[in-house]
Amino acid sequence: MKLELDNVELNYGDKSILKSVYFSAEKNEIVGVFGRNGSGKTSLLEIIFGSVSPKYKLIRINKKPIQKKLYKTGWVSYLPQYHFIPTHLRLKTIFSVYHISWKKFIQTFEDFAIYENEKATVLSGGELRIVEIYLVLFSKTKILLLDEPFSNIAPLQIEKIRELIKEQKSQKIIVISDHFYHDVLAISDRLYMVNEKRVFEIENQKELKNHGYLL
Amino acid sequence: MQKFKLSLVFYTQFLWVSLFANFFFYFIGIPIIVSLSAKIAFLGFFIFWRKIKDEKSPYVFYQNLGLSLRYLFLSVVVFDAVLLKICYAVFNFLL
Repeated sequence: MKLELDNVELNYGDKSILKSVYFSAEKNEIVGVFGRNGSGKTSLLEIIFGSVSPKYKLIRINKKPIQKKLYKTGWVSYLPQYHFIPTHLRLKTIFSVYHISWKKFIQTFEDFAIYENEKATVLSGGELRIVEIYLVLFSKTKILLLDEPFSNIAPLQIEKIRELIKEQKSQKIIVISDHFYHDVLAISDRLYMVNEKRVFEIENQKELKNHGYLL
Repeated sequence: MQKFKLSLVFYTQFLWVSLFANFFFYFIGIPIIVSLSAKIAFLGFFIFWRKIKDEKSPYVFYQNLGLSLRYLFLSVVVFDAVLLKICYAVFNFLL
């Protein structure tokens, strides 16, 4: 399975955000996306997901153009930067509607066992983030878009999450954007850099310096 | 079935407010069709307002499962119309 995003032009009012963008990702690979704050990384992920409508875009799956918003196909899951779990729901309901096993979740994250019948509001920001990452990683979709999955997460948990991401890679297309660049570099097979409205494929950490992302 | 269940999960956040509104509309003597129209207008405004008020979309949870905003709105309207009809019938019977 191959996802391609082509010919993207996104403007907010008079401000041009992305222009002449080409981006691709395939099954069994993790694609890392870097860029300075405000460069358009999140917009890129939201365009793929379908929650942002640019002036122009072409999405292809296996070379076949997809006309409707990608989330309506049920093929894609998106982890936004912000918390997306509705706070009025209990965790067991949330796992049930996503068809994800609570038992398997607490085998990996034992400390969460006490929260099964609790609403999401009782979790701390970091705990909520772990639940959200797990839901997206183990959802039944084929394409995962992860925007800042490592933010607010303790180092030990980041290690676990990195392993879970790598575990899912064989079955899915995974696109990950985060400023924890060491973690992204460690798990990514290919890298992109969003800079000056364009998206560049890059090879290594040295090119992050060339693009002004690192000193 | 999955979509129906999800719509119901989405609707639960409106349930208590909706019940209270039904009770209120009934006791001030508003006809059912006017109550329904007012509630649909309010729901449409509320869902749209939540969508535009900031950059954090409250609907990603449902979009990840393939549901569009339009589908969520229409399902809420249907559930709410059914609840309104039941409430008016029960109030008529009891009072």
